[in-house]
Amino acid sequence: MYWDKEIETMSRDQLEELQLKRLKETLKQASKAPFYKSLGLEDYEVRTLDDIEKLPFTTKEDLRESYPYGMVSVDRKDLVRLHSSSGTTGTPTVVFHTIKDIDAWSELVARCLYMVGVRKGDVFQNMIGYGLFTGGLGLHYGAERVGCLTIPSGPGNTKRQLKFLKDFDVNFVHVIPSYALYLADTAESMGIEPSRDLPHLRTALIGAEPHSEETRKKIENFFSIDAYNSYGLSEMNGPGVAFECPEKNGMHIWEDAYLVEIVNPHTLSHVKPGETGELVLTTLSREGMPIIRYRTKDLTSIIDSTCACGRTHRRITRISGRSDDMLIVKGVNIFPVQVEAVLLGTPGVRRNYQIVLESKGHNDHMIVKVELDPGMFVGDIRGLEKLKKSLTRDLRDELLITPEIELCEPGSLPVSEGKAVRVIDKREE
Amino acid sequence: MAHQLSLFVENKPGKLDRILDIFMGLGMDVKALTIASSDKFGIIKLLVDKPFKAKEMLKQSGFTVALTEVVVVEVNGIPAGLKGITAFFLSKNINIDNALGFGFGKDGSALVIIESEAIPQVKDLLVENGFKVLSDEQIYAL
Repeated sequence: MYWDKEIETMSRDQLEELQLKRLKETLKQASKAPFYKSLGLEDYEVRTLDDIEKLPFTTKEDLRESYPYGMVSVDRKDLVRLHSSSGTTGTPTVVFHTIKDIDAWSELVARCLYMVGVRKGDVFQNMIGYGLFTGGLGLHYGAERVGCLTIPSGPGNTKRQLKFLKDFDVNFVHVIPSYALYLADTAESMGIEPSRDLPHLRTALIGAEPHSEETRKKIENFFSIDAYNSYGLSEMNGPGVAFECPEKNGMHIWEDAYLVEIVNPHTLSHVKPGETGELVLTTLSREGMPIIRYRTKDLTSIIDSTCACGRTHRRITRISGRSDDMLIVKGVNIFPVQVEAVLLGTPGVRRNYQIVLESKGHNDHMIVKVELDPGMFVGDIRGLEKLKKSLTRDLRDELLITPEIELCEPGSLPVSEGKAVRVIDKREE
Repeated sequence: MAHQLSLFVENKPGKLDRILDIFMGLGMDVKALTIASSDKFGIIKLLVDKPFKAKEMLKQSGFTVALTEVVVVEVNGIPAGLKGITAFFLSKNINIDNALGFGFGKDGSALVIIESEAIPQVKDLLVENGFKVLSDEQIYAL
């Protein structure tokens, strides 16, 4: 039932004792890296886990500025692997691993896989990108560690994917949720009936992009399998940071390998237990490139209660957004994704929108510009006023402040894909 | 039933100009025109001789456009002639959603374009009660 029973079910006291020991080692190791040397990390004194709050944060910008080797804390000849995050602009952020790091990472992934029922002898098709991206190789090494026949298919070539699933009696897959849905569509159009044609398939590991509970259900129902949510980021190795157990209620974050903090993204102090905030992680067992208090920008909260699966490592909730998207309007935290959700549930308007923030006297004023759905326009001003009213009410219920709705002609707002300017902040400082 | 065009447009200069360009290209005749504005957007209503064709062309040009049914009544002057209709509507509890009235001719006769809920029934009622309701052909030939 457990890959590493001793670690996975360790009592809280023992776990924290282990964390403190590893934190001290990590600080010592990190201090060898030019970046942390320049921060004077070795001068910080850590006696208890709470002392973590005294330490400086590390941001993605720091990683960029330390490019190429500024974060490395071992002799370069001890490095065996480089990964890079999927940044689209500017200098990439790179992460280095020693052979020991790769080994520890593989162990963490093996733990995740074993947790959801993967066993030696299973056949695994890894439909996630290999290369600089961590998703492919991370799962690959973990699956081999468990003893699975691993097919490094990568994404794409959908018909061949389906052929392999069937011909090799594949038991589990690792896949991006949107690709899983595409795979389902293709299977359906090819007349593949999963419960008849893919009887061995039982599990999908889904991650690398945000997805809803509905998407999970769709994948599970179509393929008649269980789908488990996976969380990871290249700065913290990649996949294997947090993973759902069969309870499917939050992801266990491996606290022997990562020190978890949830901070308010503005004050940067710890939130109250259970509150949502930005996930901040410190590596506890990495030697090539330890990272202290890394601001992931991902928003989540900690589930502190004991889990029926018996693991003592705490869980984090599904990532609810990115802290760099957050706006503060009239003192209230607002995420554009909240606006998006309301618009999706409102017939009469399209998905495209823009948020404009202005100052009115000393007050913030929020305008939500939204495109009218031409198919829903019946020609009267009354219908439009009604639409504005119901939209205002729904947004107020969701955001807790009252925005002004501005109905716009279809096609008049910048399109939603890519770098569309969603928020225009015209407020005075 | 006669139809009137209803366009949803942002409250900005140049919108009507573009619409009229399209109509001129089509040789379309506009019988009546109203603009009602809210803060940021407006509704332009147009009574034209070929409403369905006009709607298609406007849609192709990216406009948000709908057709609404209207009834056009000839009355013997406003207010006197129109009073007959409003009194009748009151007795039947019919609400006027939108109206455009204008006098024409030296004899004082006037036309009133009326939008209301359930326009076909309203039209029948008006005809039954002896009001001078214009036929579609008469409207489009105005």
